[in-house]
Amino acid sequence: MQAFIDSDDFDPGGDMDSEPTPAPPVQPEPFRFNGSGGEYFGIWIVNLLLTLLTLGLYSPWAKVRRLQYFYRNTELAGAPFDYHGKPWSILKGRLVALGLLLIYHFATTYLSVWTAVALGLIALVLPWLLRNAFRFRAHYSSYRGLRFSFRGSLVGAYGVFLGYGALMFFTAYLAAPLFHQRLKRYQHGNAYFGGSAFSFSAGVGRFYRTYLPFMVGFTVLFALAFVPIIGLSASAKAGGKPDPEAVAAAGFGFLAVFMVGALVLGPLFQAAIQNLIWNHTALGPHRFVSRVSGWRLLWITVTNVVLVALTLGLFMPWAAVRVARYRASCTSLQVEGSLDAIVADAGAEVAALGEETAEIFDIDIGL
Amino acid sequence: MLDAVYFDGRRARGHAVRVALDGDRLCVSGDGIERREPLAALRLTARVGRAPRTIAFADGASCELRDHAALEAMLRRTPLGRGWLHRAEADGKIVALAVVAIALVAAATLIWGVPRGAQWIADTMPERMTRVLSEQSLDLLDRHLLHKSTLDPTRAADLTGAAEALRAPDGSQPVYRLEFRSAPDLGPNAFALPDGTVVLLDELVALADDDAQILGVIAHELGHVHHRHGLRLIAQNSAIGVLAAWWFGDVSTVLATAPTVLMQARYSRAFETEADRYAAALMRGNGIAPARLGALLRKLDARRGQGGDDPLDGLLDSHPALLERARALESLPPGGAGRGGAEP
Repeated sequence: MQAFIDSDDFDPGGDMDSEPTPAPPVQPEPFRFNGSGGEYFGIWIVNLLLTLLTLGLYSPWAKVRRLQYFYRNTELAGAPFDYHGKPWSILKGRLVALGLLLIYHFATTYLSVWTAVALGLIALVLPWLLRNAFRFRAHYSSYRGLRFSFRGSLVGAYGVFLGYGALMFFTAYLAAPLFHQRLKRYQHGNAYFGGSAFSFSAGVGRFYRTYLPFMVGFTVLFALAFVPIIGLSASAKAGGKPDPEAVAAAGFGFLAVFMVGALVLGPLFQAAIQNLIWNHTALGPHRFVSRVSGWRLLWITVTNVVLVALTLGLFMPWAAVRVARYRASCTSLQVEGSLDAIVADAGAEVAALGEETAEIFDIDIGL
Repeated sequence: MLDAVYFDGRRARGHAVRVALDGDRLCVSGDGIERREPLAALRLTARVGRAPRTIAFADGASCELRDHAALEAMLRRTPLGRGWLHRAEADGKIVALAVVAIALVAAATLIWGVPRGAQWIADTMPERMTRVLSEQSLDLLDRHLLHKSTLDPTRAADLTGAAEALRAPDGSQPVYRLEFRSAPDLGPNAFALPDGTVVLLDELVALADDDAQILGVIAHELGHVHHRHGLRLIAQNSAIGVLAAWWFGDVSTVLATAPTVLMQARYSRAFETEADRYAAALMRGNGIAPARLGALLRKLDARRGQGGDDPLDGLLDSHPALLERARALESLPPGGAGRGGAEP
């Protein structure tokens, strides 16, 4: 699985000194994550302390520092990535996101005519914000001194988020793979590194094939979790009030089955979907290769959850580093010729307004 | 002199260069690059861990540097050299201090902050809202758990009269409304709603030896109302839920729900003690010995000991250590003469 990763035999200066010669046409360049849990713990705990002392106002600065740690410790072909997000823009974005969240909360708590108006307003604003989130994240990411950028159109954003988003909603998530494919096609298909374009080639059929076992799995899980509740309502129909203890047990059983199932299926699904997406993403002629093993990721996730619980959360920095390291180690770029040939393209500053909204509504689906 | 990789900001090609300080200028040379820039025109990214740092030029070019010690030594006396944040993060003592500080903040929040905040929310909640909340709760219970009371109407009227005759120390009448219900599934029990309604189950009336015991239970429930325990519990659970989701949310939703359950047991224990204390004061003020409530708690405990037919033991089930509470009530002086005289 990791056979294509050569560990320490590259040298950042090495191939940069020599002029590009007709080298072997395809050179696999692995991603590497060099961070360590102990080191990140210090950054994490100081972030946390400053956030608490400032009653949360420090959190954008904490976020920038966290992302800088993860970006700068991620290397490709001997060079690190970097993150340049501006905390003040993130703070503004968070305030807008908080406003939207409050509107959403009140609109859905006290149902009235205004509920429809508020939800409609959010639906209209959200695609624009999400497009901004993509732009912000890309624009403030860099590699080898060049910025990434996202150039998806606003029309495209409305098509994906309103059109396919609504379709997914009205088909009881049967259209979720279609939505996900359109989302990734929009996101990866409109991304650039310098002046070089990314492309995305996975079709809807592949998304459905990847989703299918998990859709079946989650349906079975749901049915299993419902068994005690169905039995209970049957006995209630047979006569009398249900036994409160049985009600409590059924409720607990439902949660337990569902949560344990989600804990197992979740990482397996993440692995499958990450492989699907990155194996069909390319930067110009250079293709990405992703070989995440679902079982490995499951093991890492379950041990992380156990250790985080046992340490009341103090293990979280190690958990984050373990996942980042494993994911990076499974990803590589098949470089055709050299990355040196990529040149910059003019890019404009974008506001951070979108990014935080995407985070707080948790719509930013994985990778 | 330090080694660095220079990028011109136009192409992804790196140049191996050497970087040196010359007064207030930075010199970059090697691989066809030759630059001398005033330090004031440069930006050095803050250090995070051992990850490479970047010196950014005004025109978009940048230098990546990995030798942190040499870089810091070179820039120590320049405006670029400041970096207290990294020093704090890499300092074992400061990190240990941060852990202790956060543990203290967390403990203070759970033990002190959340209950105080919940108290504030409960105290400022408008009357109208507590009324709606209470009516909806009773409606829900009526539909799923409670049956009509089969108590003799004159007995019910007597009890209502006795309950309404109770007087708080300031002379006010603490009972807002007394409701009778039956719930064989719950067993002997009573509970209070946030608006002051007390619901008395037939099973409890049947279990009690006399009215004094029943009035004791009503007084206990009024204690919950007086201290607004119902609203506080709702507010506390929501607060703990939000905090746990924030703390564990990235890792697992299972972990995020566990603390709510754990803290709830702790909080409800404190509430029972508080309600008992209120009940004792109210009973004594109305000439009933608090020990009468203690006697009823003993009966409940004995009934549970036999493994009675009540699986949940009603809402009293979250009442921990019934005997302990009974003992605390019985240790109090009996109070003024009056209806409590049943106690030998």
